[in-house]
Amino acid sequence: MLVGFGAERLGADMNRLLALLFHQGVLDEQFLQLQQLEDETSPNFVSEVVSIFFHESEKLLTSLRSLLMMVEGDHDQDHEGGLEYGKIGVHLNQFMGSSSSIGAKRVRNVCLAFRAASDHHNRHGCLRALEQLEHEYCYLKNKLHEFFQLEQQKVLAAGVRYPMNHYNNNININS
Amino acid sequence: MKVEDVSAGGGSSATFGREFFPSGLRVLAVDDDPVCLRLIGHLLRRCQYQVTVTNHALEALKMLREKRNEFDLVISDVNMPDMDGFKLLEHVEFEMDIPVIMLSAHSDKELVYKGVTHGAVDYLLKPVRIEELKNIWQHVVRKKKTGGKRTDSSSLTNKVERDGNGVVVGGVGSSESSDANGRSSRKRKDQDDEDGEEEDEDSDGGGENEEGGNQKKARVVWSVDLHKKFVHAVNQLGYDKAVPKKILDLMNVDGLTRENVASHLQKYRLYLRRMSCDKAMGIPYGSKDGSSYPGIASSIDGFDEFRSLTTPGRLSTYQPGGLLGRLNSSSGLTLRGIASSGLLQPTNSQALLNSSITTLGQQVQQPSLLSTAQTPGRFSLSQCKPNFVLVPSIGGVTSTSGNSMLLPNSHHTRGTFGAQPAALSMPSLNRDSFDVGIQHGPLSPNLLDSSRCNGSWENAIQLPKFPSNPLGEQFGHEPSLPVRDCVPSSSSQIANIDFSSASLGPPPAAAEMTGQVGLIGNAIEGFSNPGLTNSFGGMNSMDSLDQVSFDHGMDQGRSFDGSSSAAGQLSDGVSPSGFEVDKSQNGFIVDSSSFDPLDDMVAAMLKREQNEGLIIDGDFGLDAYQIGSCI
Repeated sequence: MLVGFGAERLGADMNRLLALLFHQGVLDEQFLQLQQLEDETSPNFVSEVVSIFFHESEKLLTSLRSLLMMVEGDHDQDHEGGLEYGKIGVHLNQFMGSSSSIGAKRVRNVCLAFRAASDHHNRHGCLRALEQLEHEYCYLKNKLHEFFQLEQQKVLAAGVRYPMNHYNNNININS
Repeated sequence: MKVEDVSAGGGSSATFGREFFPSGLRVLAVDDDPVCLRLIGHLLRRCQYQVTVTNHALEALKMLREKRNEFDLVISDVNMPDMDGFKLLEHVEFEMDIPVIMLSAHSDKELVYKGVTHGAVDYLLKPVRIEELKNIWQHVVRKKKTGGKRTDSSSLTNKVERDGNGVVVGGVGSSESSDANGRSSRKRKDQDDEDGEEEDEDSDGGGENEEGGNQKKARVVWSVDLHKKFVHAVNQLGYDKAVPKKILDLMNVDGLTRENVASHLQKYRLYLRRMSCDKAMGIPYGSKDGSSYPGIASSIDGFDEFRSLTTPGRLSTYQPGGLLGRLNSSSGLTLRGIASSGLLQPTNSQALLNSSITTLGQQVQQPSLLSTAQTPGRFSLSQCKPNFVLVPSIGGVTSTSGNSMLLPNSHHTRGTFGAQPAALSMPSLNRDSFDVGIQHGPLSPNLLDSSRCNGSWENAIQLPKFPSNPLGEQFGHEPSLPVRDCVPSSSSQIANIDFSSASLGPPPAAAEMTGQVGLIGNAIEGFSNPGLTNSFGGMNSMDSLDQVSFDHGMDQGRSFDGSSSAAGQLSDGVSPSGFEVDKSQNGFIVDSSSFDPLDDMVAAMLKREQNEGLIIDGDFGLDAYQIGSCI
C-alpha cells in the first residue's frame, strides 16, 4: 500500500515537475511526443534519447567554448574569426536540431540567439549566449535528472512495468 | 496509414510490388546527430517501415550503392560533417533515383530552395513528427509513377536555375543534362539487370534545355544583351511586322520560347506606345522617339529598367498593392513606362491615383524598398520596380529615393515620378536643383489638380526638372500655402527654392499629389541641377513620359486633393518654365545618351539630396516626412 501510494505520489510529482517545466518554457510538446513513443518494446525510450542528448550537448558546449576562446575579438582578422564562427554555426546547428527533437525549447531558443550573434561575428554576443546556453542546459539537465529519478522510483514503487515478474507478484498490492 | 500487408515481401499493389507498401517501406535515415537519428529511427519503426540508420553520409552512400535495390526512400540531414546533405541528395538522385527527403533544423529559405531544386522530394524540419513520416511513402509511389518523366522536374530545375541565376546550376538539373546520357544508360542497364523495372529512361540531356511541355513557367531574365537582340530583331523585322515567332528566330537564343518573346513584345509595345503618347501630348521631349523606339541605348537602358522592373522577384512588377500590380502588368515598361503607365493608365489612372495615394501609406514600406534600391540613384529607378515608381511612394521615405530615382535615367525618371510621389524627396532636390521655377515638388501633387492638370501638367511635366523648383518656389513664397498657390508664380523662379518655408504647407495635401507631382518635381529636381541641361534632356524623355503619366494622373487623379488651383497654378507656372526647360531639354532630348552623364549627376545630386533629405532640415525635410506621415 505504501508503495502504491508512493508510486502515485511519485507520479504526481513527476507530473507536477513536467507541468512546471512546460510552464517555464523549458520543455515543449515535443517532449510529450517522445513519451508517447515509449511502449513495451522500448520502455526507456525517453531516458535513452535524453541521455544521448546530454552526452552530445556536453561535447558541443565544450567545443563551443573552446572555439569562442580562439576568436580573438570582434571584427579583427575576419577570416580567422570566420572560420571559428563557421564551426560554431555548425555546432549550433546540431544543438538546435537535437534540442528541438527532445523538446528543449529554451535551449533551442538560446541556440538561435547564439547563432545570430555568431552570424554577425559578434564575439561578445556569442559569449553571452554561450553562458546563457550553459545555464539553460544545466537547468534542463538537473530537472530532467530529477524527472527520471522520480520515474525510476515510481517504477520501483509501482512495480507495474518492472520487467521482472516476480517483483510484480510481490509488489502487486500497489497497482 | 493502413497497413495492408504486414509482411514486407507481400505486395497488394501489383504495379509496384512490395516496394509500394507503406508498411515495410525500406527507408534509410542518415543524420550525424545521434539524438535525431535515434528519434527518427524510432519514429520510422513506429510507422512500420523497415529502417536502416546511419550517422555517416558516406556510409549511407556505400550502402545504397551496394544494395541498390534494397531501399525505397532516403531521409537525410542537410548539414553533415562528412558530406553535404545536398551532395548526397544529388548522388542518390542520379545513381539510384529513389526519393530523398531532406531534414534540417533550419528552415532557411535558401536551404529549402536548394533542396527542392536539387531534387529532394520533401524538406522536413526538426523536430520531425510522426505524422509527417506516415506519409512519406507517397513519394515513392509518385516517383515510380513519374519515373519515366523524371527529367521533367530536372529540366524544370535546370531551367529555373538557369533563368533565375543566369547560370546553369550544378544541381540535379544541370548535372543531369551533362551526365544524363551516361547515367541514364547506366541506370537503364542497372534497372534491367536488377528488376526490369518499367521505368523508361529518357536521355535527359536533350530534354533539359528544351522547353518541356510540363515545365512550369520558368522565368526568363531579359538581360541587356537579350533585350538588345530582341530590339534588334524587332527593328529588323519592322515594328509592325514583328511577330514573336520571327523575332524568336532572329534572336536565335536557346531556351527562349515563343511565349517569352510574345510577352516581352507586348510589354515592349506598351512601352513604346507610352513613349509615343507622351510625344503626342506635345511634350517637347522628343526623346521618346529618339530614345525609345529605335532601340537606341535609351530604349535599351529603358529596357534595363524595364527588365528590372519586370523581373520577377523584384519589387516592381508584383506590387503588393493592387495598384502596382496593375501597373506592372500593363506597362511592363521600364520604370519610366511603369511610372507613367502605372500612374497614368488612362483607364485606371484615377483608380491608380487613388490607390497610389492610399498606397502611399502602404508605401511606407515600399519606399524603403525604393530607397534601398535607389541609393545608387540610378538604380533606384530601374530597381524601383514600378511599384515604387508609380506609387507615390511615401513622400518622406521615398523622397530621397525618389530623387535618386529621378536622376538616374530619364527612363527611370518616369518611373520615379510616377512612383515617387515622394514629393518629399523633392524638397531635397529642390534645394539643389531649383533651376526651374517649376515647383512640382511635393506641392505638385496638390497642384495636380485634375482640372488643371491636363493641360498644365503637360507643361508641368515638361519641367520635370522643376519639380524641385516649383516646390521650392512655392514654398518659398508661401510656406503655408498649398503648393498650388505658389506654383504659378514661383515656377518662373527657378532659383533655388526655399523650400523650407513652403514645403510644409502643402505637404499633407501635396502628399497625395506629391506622388504624382513629386515625381515630376523630383525628376525635375534631379535634373534641375544648374547647368544640368542634360538632365533635362534626360528628363525630357522621362518627363514626357512622366508628364504624360501625370497628366493622366491629374485628370484621373481627381481623387487627390482638389488642389486644382494649386495644380493649375503649378502647371501654369510650370509651363513657362517648362518651355524654357523644354528648350534646353529639347536640345538634350535628342541626345539620349545624355542620360548617362545625367545619371552621374543625378546620382551625385541624389546623394546630396538624400543627405539633405535625410536631414530634416528646413521644411522640405519636414515635408518629406510629413507627407509621408500624412499618407
